[in-house]
Amino acid sequence: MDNAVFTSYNELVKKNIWILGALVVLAALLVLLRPQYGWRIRSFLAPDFGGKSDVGALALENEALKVELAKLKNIKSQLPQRPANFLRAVVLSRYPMNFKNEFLIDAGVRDGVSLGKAVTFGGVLVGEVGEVFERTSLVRTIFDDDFQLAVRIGVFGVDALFTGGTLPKATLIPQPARLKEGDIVYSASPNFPYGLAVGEVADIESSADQLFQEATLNFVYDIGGIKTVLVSK
Amino acid sequence: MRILKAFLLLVVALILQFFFGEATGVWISFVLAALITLSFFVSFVELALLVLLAVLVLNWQPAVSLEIVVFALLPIAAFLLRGSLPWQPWLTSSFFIFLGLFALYVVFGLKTLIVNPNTFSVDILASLLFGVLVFHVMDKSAPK
Repeated sequence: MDNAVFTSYNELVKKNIWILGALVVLAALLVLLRPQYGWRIRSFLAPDFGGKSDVGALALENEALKVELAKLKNIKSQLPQRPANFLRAVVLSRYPMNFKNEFLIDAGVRDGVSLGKAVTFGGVLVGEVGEVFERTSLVRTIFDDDFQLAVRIGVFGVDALFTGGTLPKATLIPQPARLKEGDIVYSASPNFPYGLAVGEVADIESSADQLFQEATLNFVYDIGGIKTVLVSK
Repeated sequence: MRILKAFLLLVVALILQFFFGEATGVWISFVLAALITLSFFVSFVELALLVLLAVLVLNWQPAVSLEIVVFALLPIAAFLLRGSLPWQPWLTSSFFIFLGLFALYVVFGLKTLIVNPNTFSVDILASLLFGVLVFHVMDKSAPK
């Protein structure tokens, strides 16, 4: 009985081979020519985690961060006026494996996006433009293993190197430097607008070779929940 | 119908992969595990369709990347080699899942493998478990 069922299934497959073949060709064409349909299916299947990235809550936390920044005269005097040359973009899809941490936005060459530009969320740096297409761009986030950024920390502007990954850190902090939990870490890279907030110091420890200090960071947003970003032009 | 069951399992794998990835930041390769397992039950054309549908949804950029090409070829390779080992099919399927994932990490995520071995371990374990589950579901409807 089971063999009869199997045989009849195989016959059914053979009869419908042309239909299956046509579906295969159609799917291949969609993959190559219309990937945006895949992103729409993905957004239908993927859950929406508001979480920490709720705009209202983030705006409040951002305000608190700004108040802290304003209290630190040294940082405030060095902060330039935030330039108006920022473009809003929607996150279309995310890298679905563990080898990178990047996402695709709906702004590209025709919108004025160029390689290496800063990408922010709620005034906080979340990544940089890694690759630009005609209508979209790939953003490499600060949680990517290969992301590195020159930063400064706290009131005294201690120089450090921010290294990305699952547990981003500020590294190469001179041993004599005095840091405390809650110190603001901000961008000091010539490639980005100066003073972009990155995160807050969470914990400080010595490096493995005892020559430097390292600081793990707290972030006020959930990178997986971000739906829109600003891209510097 | 077997292809319909395979398609539904693929959809479940996609939902699970997005759920865990978006919620935790750790992406489990449910889809790859499902496709490699399904390669033991469906025809080549059916597998090609399932692989292309998975690629359509998983592909995160407008261009076809090397990762996606290799990802798509792994279930095809499993299909071609499914009878090559003298083991129980579920064991062969699990071995191919492990091998495929390990190959992906070595080629594209060596830094992740070295710096975050826990991520790799979680991915492998969860993918293997899911693969066994998919195998069991498909095997129930297969002729003895």
